[in-house]
Amino acid sequence: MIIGEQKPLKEICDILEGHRRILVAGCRSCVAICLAGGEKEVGILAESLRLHSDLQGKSWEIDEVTVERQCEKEFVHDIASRIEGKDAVLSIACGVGAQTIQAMYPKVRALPGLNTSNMGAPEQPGIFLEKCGGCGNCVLHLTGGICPIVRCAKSLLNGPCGGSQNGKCEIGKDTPCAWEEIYQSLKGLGRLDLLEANIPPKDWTPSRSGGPRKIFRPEAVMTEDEKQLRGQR
Amino acid sequence: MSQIKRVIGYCCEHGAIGAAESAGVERRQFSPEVLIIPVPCVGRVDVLHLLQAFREGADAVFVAGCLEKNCHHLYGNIEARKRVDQVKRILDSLGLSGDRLELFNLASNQGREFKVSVDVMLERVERLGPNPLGVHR
Amino acid sequence: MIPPVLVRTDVVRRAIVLGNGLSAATVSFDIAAQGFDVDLLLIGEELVEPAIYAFQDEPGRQDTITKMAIIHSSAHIRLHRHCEILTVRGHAGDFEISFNEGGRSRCVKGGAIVLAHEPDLVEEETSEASVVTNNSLRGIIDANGTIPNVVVFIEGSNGKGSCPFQSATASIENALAIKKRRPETQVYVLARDVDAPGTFERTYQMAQRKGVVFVRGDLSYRLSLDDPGSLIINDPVIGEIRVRPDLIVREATFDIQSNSHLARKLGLRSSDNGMVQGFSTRLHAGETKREGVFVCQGLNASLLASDNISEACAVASSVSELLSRSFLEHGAEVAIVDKEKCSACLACVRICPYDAPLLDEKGKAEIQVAICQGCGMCVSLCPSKAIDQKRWTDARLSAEIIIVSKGEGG
Repeated sequence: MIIGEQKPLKEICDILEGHRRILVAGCRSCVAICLAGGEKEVGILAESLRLHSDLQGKSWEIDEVTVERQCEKEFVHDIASRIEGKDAVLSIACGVGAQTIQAMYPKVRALPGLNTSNMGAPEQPGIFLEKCGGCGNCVLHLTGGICPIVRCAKSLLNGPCGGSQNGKCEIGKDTPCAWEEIYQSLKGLGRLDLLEANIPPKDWTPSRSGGPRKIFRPEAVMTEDEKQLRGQR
Repeated sequence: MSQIKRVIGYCCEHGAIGAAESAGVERRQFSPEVLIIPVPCVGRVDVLHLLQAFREGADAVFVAGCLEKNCHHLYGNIEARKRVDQVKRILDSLGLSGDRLELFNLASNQGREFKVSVDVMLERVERLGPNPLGVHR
Repeated sequence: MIPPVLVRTDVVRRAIVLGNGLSAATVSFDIAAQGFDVDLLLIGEELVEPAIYAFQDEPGRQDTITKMAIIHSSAHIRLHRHCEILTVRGHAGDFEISFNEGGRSRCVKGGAIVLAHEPDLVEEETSEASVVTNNSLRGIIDANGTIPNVVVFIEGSNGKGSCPFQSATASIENALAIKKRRPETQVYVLARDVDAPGTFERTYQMAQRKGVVFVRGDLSYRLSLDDPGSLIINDPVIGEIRVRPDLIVREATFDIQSNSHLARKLGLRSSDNGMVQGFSTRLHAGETKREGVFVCQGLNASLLASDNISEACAVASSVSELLSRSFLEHGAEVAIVDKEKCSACLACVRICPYDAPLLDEKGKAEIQVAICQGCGMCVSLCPSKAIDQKRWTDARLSAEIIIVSKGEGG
């Protein structure tokens, strides 16, 4: 899932300068689970902003709402009445949510309260680790289920660098060396033979470097005829 | 016009309320400016409640639970510690001082220590001054 | 309005006893006598009389030892040997314990669980020949060993596992035995308080009449700095007394690990010295904070076999009362999930000390009413504010803040 972290309170207060009627908008999806932007966090941030406003004499009006999934137009459409009259929406959903709100409400400024970070998983309660780089060309079958793109700091594709020491990455003693992990995983699977195959230099076109990606599911795309027939209902 | 001092104390049903009652039985007086809100366990106390207390004008807030490692519900007091630390950071960011909030660990027979805790918070209010959002009469 | 009682559950009319000695035997027999079958889970091969009682002749003890010998022929008590407890699930009226019985996995159900584990003594290897435990001293006296000139009994043991309850009774017995064997020996008993219950009062009186000196109070002694080997005793009335003890007698250390381990499995707290937290024996015999789980040898445990036997009888009575109810009611202060809001993030599942939350078939959290103990941790933790708690609602707590903040005071 998407992992993000709230911006520091001071930075959020600075970003909100000049606005007065503010809606704090959260999401029940990924950011709720990584404890950054769910309904609870919305409540806490809103109360903190009210406290700031009271202490600084700002007369901010802070409203709160939490959307089922802030990246979906239908759910964001449902909060139209809450956005009406506001001069800013402070979104603590991921960057997708904040952009969806801006796109649907072009007259009201959508401001980010969250730094969207990565795609990862909860390791333990409260601890979230990056797992997938979204490179668009997955090689997990060759690396024993361990992503070399993000779990290796250099995104190496054919083994560790010289900085790998005692199974740890040279960037820090708490970071495991991904290629050590890959080796151990393949060993456990009895497939060390996969290390023999050379993974060629990566084509980064399907990744972020190729521009904003658009993926089609032709079987689900509505044809023009369908749209027309539907519109005539 | 003077400001009424307000200290709010969240006390758990097991350790802390017992301590408050022991204090009462032992005739240890503490000022009427201190108001107790009981909770089943301090693990129930939400970050939101603590912030609300300050917005409503509390000069200081304390959260009192069972002794460390002796929480009636195993680790509610450890959860409360994390929440209190989170709110302290928010208060510091807002310029209100995290010292206005504290967590205490008490056993139900610790009347004396309950009074000491209350006195600590009252002293903090003296030192830090009243909450700018406090109630005036 | 949400009704105060949400759920009624049936009661399984059996008891599960985890134990090893006199208490376990007594409580099992008495529960069975009330008409409820018992599963008795032993750690070892048989019930064993623990060494802590080794030198006390008391009424009731011999009967109980007899019971221990014949327990395997009782039709209502099912013995399980060499048990290693794996998990404890369920709630009052319907518990399930899974365990290994000599290597085979087993499962038993019961309406109530009784922890009746008597701790063993750990004989300490002490470097000084002049420091012994009450048990070893008894051995010396019984074997007609030499009694020295000055003997001082000190409360508390050297090891970490010392128990809080009074060793004064053991000390008094030994002190009296010494005076009877060798009246010229000076005997001092230092204790914070002298607890000599029941007929033991007579022993205490006799000891005093025979000239045993009892010194009470906290920190009633200290080592003399200028005269090594000397103790300075502070008597609150007389003042300072100097003695040169030939023999110092301390409490033995108790093995608390097995008790703490079992307590944890049952979701109970135990103190640093291994005693399981229970309520006062005199009011609610054996009850712990977890409904349906009872403990013999709780905070009021004693070194007297008769005390522990009586306590076990009282606990059997409490257990029988629970097992004889037609149903149990639950729900007064439980947490409830609004499934519409639940994000299925598992935070509540991971935090609950009682394992009350489960995921339903759609992956949404649901809190088992009979198991929830109303601590509220899940409520304040839920990232989607999907959980609220009966009686201690968010709305109420917020309202209370406003009310107390607006009030005039006191």
